[in-house]
Amino acid sequence: MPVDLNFTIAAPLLALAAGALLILLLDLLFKYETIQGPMYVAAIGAVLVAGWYLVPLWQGAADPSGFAGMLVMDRFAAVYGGVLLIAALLAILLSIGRAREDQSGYLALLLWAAMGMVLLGGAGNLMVIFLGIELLSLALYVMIAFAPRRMAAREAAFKYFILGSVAAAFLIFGFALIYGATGTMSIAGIAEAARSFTSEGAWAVGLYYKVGVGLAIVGLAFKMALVPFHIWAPDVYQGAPTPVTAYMSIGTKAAAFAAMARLLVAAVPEAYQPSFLLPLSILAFASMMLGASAGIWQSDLKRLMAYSGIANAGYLIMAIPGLGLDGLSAAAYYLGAYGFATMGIFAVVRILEADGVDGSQIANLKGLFYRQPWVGVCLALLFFGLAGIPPAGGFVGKFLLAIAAVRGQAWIVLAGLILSTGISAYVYLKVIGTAFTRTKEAPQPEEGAEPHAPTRTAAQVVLVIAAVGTLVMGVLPGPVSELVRVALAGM
Amino acid sequence: MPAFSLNAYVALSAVLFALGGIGVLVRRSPLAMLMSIELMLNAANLLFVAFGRAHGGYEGQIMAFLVITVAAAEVAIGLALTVLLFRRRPEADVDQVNELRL
Repeated sequence: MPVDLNFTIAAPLLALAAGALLILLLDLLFKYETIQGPMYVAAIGAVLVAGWYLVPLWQGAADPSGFAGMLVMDRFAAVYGGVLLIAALLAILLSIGRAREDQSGYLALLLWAAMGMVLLGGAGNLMVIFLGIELLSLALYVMIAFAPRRMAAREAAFKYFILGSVAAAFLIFGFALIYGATGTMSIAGIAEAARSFTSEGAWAVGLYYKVGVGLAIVGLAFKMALVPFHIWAPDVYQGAPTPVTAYMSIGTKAAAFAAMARLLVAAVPEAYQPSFLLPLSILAFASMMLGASAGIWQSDLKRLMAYSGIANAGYLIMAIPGLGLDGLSAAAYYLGAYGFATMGIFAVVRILEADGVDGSQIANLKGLFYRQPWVGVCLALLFFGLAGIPPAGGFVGKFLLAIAAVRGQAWIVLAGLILSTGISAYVYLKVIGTAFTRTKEAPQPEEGAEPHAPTRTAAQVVLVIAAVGTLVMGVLPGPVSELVRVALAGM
Repeated sequence: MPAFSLNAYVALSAVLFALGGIGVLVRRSPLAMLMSIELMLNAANLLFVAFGRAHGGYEGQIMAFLVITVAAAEVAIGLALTVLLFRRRPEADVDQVNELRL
């Protein structure tokens, strides 16, 4: 059998991996003091090169499938890959100015995690989904613990590791059952087998198949932090270093959603969509309600963002019932808007941290508008984006998702969207209100913490990019959503 | 060699998987939790090999090897995190790790 190598489609992944190796090599060859800056340049360069190779795939590669069908970098993969690479780029910028420690290892892991995420979008085989999930998870377990002298980070990493490994076990046990029922690991083969079940009327016999798909969804739902598999999210978000929290909040969600969409499009025949997807809709509804209402009692901004992430995972599931072009392009749009908003809010946390203040305490935001006016305005805009208030991008994203849900006749999730948007608007407006409250006292820096100018500059750059991104997606939704739609239409 | 039906293998791996899951829930030692996770992964491996045999292809066996490899990497990271977290504590008990709470 000839070896089916297709380096055109693998190029983005290879660029990320090569960047990671280059960074490790730089650390080995040069003195630490001189090489710190170039390592960040190399990391940003690797992401940009990966994005460069993604452009032809966005336009539609002549042959999107390679490596014997293992890797399918079609336009779907390119769209989600684009979202993920932007997240990686902003996360690298946010990481500038981390405490003096192993920078090369951190950056290499960040790039490898990005590789795993992009790989998930282009998975053509259950083996590749498993590989992608593990690549991004193993890298993230280590990155979460990457905070010197902070026990909370280690605890968060350990909790995430134990629960994440159990989720991975559910995932592959599900894959094993799917393999047993269909006799193939290829997603295209599974799609064919699932259609043949129905035509022979043998669908009822496929107990292994149904349980297998269910377990696989449990594994992916864990990565997306859907209720009831969300227990880890608040602790991990709070414990992890801020740049890592920002990265994983958007990265793992987008990647796991892409894999889930790919698996479900193949594994669920049209005729069985309603009964098959009802449990998922209920999970989505529960996630939205819990995520929105638990935010009310949070005094920690990172925890609040974790609950917001849980609610947003529910919103993303709205794209699933129709499983059509509308839903998937709406989800990609929403992920973009959500990603910009989240990244920007964590950039604000980082700006406070640059002055030695514990930025994750909502109390420390008090009077932010009067001390740094434009940071306060950007914060308000980004929370508008999360709440779905125009002119921010989240509004358009939610609107597109609602349309997709109506077309898919998913009334449960639509009701959840409306209810939870109301509750979460209260939560977000409360935070904005804190930032706009007049106060005389500035928040006190933590002991031993010193202001760090490069960190602040880098975080401000991220904040500006995020705010502009949110605004563009909100004010000019037409071009962006059309771009996504056209890109996905060729699927 | 007595030939078992495929369902017997599925039942055995389901039992192993459940045992592993219960182990993660009830054991308080991080090492025992790691071993329980290994048991869950190996239950899936058994299933892959059994189904691979039934279908007559190599895919199941390849996947089993892939899972073994990844599980080794996972254990390496898990042990590193365990050492990092419990080095300063007199005993390794996950109930004492409760800094992050609601």
